[in-house]
Amino acid sequence: MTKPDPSIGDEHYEVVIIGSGLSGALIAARLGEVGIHTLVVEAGKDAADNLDAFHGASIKIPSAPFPPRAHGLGGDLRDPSYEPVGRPVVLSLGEESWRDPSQSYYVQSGPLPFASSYERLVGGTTRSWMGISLRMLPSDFRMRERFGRFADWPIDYQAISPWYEAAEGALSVSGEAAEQSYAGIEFAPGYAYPQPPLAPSWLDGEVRRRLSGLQLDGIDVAVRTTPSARRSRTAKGAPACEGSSSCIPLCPTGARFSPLTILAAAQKTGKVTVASGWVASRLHMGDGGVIEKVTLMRSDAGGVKRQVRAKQFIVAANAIESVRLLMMSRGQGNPDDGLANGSGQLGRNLMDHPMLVSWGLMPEPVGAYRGPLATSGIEVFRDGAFRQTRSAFRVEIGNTGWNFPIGDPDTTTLDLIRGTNTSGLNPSHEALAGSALTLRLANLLSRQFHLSFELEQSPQETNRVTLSDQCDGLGLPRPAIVYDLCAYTRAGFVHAADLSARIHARLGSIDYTNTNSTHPASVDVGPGVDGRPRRIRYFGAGHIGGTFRMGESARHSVVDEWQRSWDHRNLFIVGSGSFPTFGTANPSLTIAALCLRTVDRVINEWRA
Amino acid sequence: MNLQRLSAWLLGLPDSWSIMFAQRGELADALLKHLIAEGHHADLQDLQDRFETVGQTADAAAVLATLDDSTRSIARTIMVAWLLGRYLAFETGQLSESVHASVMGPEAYRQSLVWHLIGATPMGVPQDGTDPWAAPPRVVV
Repeated sequence: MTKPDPSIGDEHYEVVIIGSGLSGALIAARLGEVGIHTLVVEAGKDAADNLDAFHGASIKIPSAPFPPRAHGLGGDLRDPSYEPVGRPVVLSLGEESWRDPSQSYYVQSGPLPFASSYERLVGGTTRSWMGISLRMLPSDFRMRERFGRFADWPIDYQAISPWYEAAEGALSVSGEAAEQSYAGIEFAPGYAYPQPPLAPSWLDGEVRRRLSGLQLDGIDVAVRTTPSARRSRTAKGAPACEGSSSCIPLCPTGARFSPLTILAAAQKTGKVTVASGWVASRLHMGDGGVIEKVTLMRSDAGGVKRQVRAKQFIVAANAIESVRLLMMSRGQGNPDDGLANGSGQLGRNLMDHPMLVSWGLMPEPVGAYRGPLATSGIEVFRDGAFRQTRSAFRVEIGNTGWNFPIGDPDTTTLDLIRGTNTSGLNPSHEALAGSALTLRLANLLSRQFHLSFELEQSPQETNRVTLSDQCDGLGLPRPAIVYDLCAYTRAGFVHAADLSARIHARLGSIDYTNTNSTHPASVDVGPGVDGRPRRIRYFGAGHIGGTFRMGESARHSVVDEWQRSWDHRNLFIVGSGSFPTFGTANPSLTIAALCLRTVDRVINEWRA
Repeated sequence: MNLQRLSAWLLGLPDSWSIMFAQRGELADALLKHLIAEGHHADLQDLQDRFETVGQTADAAAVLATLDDSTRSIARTIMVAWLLGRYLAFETGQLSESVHASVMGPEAYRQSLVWHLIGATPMGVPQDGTDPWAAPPRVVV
């Protein structure tokens, strides 16, 4: 599909896009439509979805179906210093590995682990995503104005709203506008999502029924369906969701949006070339701060180099790889602290949606392990006056039992056969067989559920991506990360943990959440109902942002409202790295909306 | 040797599951080859003989409690293979304390039975029907 030919430097392009993920794909497709000659450069490989690799993987981490293989059969990690196109993987963010540069692509110095990973391949990390497509709230764009906290965006909800519609169209989002009209979200009159919402799971219905009437701080704990880029109905030959319970890493039916569809449409215009296996290692600045060319290194041919010139450059790697490229472009005629860094903000304000995962057993079977990974959530804590003092969060209702928290159904099955108790469900260490085994398994597994509390993280300048002195297999410096959770976010965790306990009590479920975590990615959340202190592990949501924040002035931000560099006017840096605050919405829909808005601007300027 | 019959007894699954076992000949063949390749043919035969002696209605857990360690390990390996499509790791004929269980292969994962106990399909395998996740849960055993 893509162009692996090392001769790409022979041509001259009008636009070069670095990164073929959601952002790069959407922008390339639009440029191709209007006839702008565009090269999309992708460091990773052009690999098809490999369902067999996922099904056959003993350790079913998100990177399992994608090359290169990150670990051996026993889970031993490959040394990233030998990888030409390294990436962080879940296993390298573990208790032992996160601070070990021989196991972790990130070179982390703490004090807490940054716990999110990403892919580097054609299509980017959106090859492996849930498809959750929530809009950000009007308040999310106005944190300083409304709550006296952090920063306001240079655009507001009204400005982005039409682009949300465009993004929902591009991603074929399933949802219902009336149900999504909360916390100030408004839709244009008569607006309808491209697809009706996916049916809520049986578990969703049980949670909704049992939580009816529950209030916390005077707020009704309401359950509503979650808009997602998964088709609820077949359309134009494209399939509808069949409930394969694995949107991550792969949707086996193709019902969930994939950027490969957009890349294929881009290439079909005849104006867009996608070149995989080329690592952008340096952007070159000419007179007046204009970016003139990019140096590319072939990932599988000993770092063979080419240089490609273009009139405009769009860096669309991700919030870490984009920063890495701009910082690698330092000195030798470029500024000493990297490109696009006149504000000194490049790489700062690294954010995620750190997650508290809670899991329990319902009194009766709830149909665990069926359906998409999640179909409903609790959104009422995404906004409120409390944001003056603590972070907001949303709650996702997990349809896949205890798979995420403990790796079930495997862990409980092995426990009951071997007489162990890793799951916590076999406290008597019984070794079962026969109908006693299968009846017990059916009883336990069918009652499982989990909740993911995804927290708004506040921007902090000290949470930062820079360049390490540790290199990858091409001799390029790997990302160095400093990361912590501030008091604002930690206060949100306390509230999330308290709500979790209240929900379990109301559901009548037995709460098995580990409140005595010794993992380095853990936070204290105060005493529980039994008066004992609780220390709960947080997980990364894979939502990485903030590192090239947009703003209203060159002094305080890296890009303007169009995601254009203040310092280099033919350079755009796009993606969730431009978010000055992070809200609680999974970022992909907002990334798509911003990119469609950016490319519209680029095209209008081109025409002018 | 009828591995499927032995397996159905070890898992306490009724005759109605015989079709599920019959459809999973590939998994059965792979498991049998694995056990023989790992040198467990004699233990497997002991287990089969014991099954023939006690009969289909005997309490599998009670019988397993009377077996020697290596024969019991074979029984557990068979149960894990059918339920999860994974091989338990062996160490000198015994189950390792630090046991891990590697997936037998993509097809064995797709054929694994634990999901069917609760009316689900393996993660990454589509379900039948329209919006089946919205229907009441169906616990099959």
